[in-house]
Amino acid sequence: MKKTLTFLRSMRFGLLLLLPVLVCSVLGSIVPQGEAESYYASVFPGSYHLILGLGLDHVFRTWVFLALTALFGVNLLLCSISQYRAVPAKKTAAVFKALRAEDREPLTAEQRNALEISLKRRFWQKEEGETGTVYTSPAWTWYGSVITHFAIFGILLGAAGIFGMSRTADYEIMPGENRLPGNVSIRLDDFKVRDDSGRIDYVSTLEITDASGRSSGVREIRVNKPLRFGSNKYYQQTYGAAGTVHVSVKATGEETTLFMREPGMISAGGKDGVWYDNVYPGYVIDEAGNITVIPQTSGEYADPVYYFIRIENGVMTPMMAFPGDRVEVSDAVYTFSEPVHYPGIRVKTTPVWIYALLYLSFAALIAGLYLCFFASVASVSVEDGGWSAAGKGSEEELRQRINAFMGKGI
Amino acid sequence: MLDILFFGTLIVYFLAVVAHFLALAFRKEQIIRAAWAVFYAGFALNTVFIIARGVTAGRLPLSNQFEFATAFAWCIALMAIVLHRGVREPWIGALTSAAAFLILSFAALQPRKISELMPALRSAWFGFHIGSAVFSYSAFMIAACISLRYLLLQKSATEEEERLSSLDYLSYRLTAFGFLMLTLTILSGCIWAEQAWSAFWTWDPKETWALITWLIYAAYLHLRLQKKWRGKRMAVFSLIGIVCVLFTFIGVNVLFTGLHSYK
Ligand code: HEM
Repeated sequence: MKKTLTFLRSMRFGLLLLLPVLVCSVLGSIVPQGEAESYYASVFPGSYHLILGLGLDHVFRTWVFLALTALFGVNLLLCSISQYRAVPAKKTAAVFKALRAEDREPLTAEQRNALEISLKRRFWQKEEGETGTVYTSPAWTWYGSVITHFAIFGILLGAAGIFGMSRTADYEIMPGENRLPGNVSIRLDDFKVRDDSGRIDYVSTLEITDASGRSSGVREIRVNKPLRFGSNKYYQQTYGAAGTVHVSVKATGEETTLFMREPGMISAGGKDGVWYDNVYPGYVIDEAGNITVIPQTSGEYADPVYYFIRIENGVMTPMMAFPGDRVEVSDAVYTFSEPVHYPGIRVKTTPVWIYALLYLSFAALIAGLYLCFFASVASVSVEDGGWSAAGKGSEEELRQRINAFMGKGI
Repeated sequence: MLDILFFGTLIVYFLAVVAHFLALAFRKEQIIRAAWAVFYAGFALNTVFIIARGVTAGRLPLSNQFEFATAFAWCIALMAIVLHRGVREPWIGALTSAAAFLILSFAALQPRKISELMPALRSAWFGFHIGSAVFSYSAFMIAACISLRYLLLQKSATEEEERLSSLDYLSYRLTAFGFLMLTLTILSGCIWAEQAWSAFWTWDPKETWALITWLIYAAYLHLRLQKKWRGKRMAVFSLIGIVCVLFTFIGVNVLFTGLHSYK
């Protein structure tokens, strides 16, 4: 039992786990992830059976990779705990080693003064012993490695949290009121593809109301500026264009505006009406007067043209219309307007603790690494006979650091 | 004008490489000094070019392969020069100026057109993420140059122990700094990706290779600090590390497509 535990927390086990993790990562970068089966069949005709069989199309979600990561997490946690428990002993050992050192670096009274002032300024703790004074670097400096390793564990835990608990869904949001699952509604006031200076910038102006009726107020979201509201985060994800058709029913005076993203029947009575086909961004007219549509432009709808089929009494007539045109079919009037751009909004739901854990771990990792590499972690005994230091790093490194404290150049 | 500055820098770096190799051949103090003077001049031109390009573009000039490579070469030169003030070691000038020249040559192969920044790149994290990557890659590059010097010196076998171990130590310190910077790059990238694309991590090839590089250097640090590896083995490790860095930087863009290739 004890042997197993020792192995589980050993660095050898960590390094051993690292190899298959690296292999998986390399494979996962060579084989594009998450494509359709047909993609692999066409790109890797000889080996796509193998790719799909081994799950190389989703390496980072295979149980092998997840198990390796989990084991790595266990290894890291156990190792971090044992490092944490070893700190006091390391510190004590450094104090004794510094105190007992036989060969000391000589120290003039002036240097001693400079050194002690410098150490105090750096919050080194002073202890008076029988043989002399010993200074030890502040407690936190001894925990650099521990902080680093716990932080990486925290990141793994956060990643697991996201894997298991975070959900995203994408919605196309039309001008006006939009109902989303979970009783959330979004009212889109405006969507722009360019900012005032003409630069591409996708900006949705909208108001979100959550299930309890609480409103976010009118807010803007754009790429890089998502909106956090309640437990959700809203992202400006994509955009599309929709044809705009107003329907006005003569008999009742009822008016409706429809945003058409795909072909479909628009009808007031059920039978007669228009079969909406598409709206094209532009067109060209040749000398003979024939119109050819431009299927796609850079997203601008400079000269939009609508294609639709008028259906009345079973007679179908293919037609075109420009913004402003109206057609009357039976008892309704269909008016075509300028097409609109609409945003694709991504809604992400992630428990707040995951964000807290991740951001805390990120900060701790940077702080931990800084302590590991740039903090002095040592004890220095200062006597009339000279100084001696012990702690992290080679003797040469320590000597240079202490000399630097005294103002001696490195 | 920008092109003149750019190719001027490239030529001066090339002259610096030639001068440094001449200095190695003749070992004359004047030639060594001249070689460094040329390298300084290349660095100065490189600096002016980056500033001029930034002013022309009206933003940080770090948004594509060309701009990144230019900054990478600049940072290699900067670190080599800072190092040179404290450490006088033949070959370091030759190797680092060659590295700066090669990286800038890679830049020369890239399209130089100044393009509008796509919305996903307009973020406060932009400078931080890419700036730390430049420093990290450069530190790894200099560490690799020192490791190469170590291996060359070690072959001649007559060298004193102390000089070798100080090279070994220097390479480790640069690697440690590079590792801290790479960690900053990856973490700031995660935070930024979460703001721009909603996910901290998407396993796109650039991210995956940055992680592979990070893990390789983590292994390097553990073998050194815990297993007490030193010298030749660590120098070889450092060379493997820089191959990974260069693959992350160049190979990934050439071979794979993903969010980071901005094609
Ligand atoms: C990818 C994950 C890891 C990273 C980035 C990492 C990072 C580091 C760093 C930067 C150091 C230097 C600390 C110092 O100078 O004091 C270190 C030391 C160390 N690491 Fe890790 N580590 C990782 C995983 C692990 C694992 C899984 C183990 C255990 C199996 C481990 C065990 C150790 C030990 C024992 C030390 C020496 C501690 C000391 O000097 O006090 N590390 N690690």
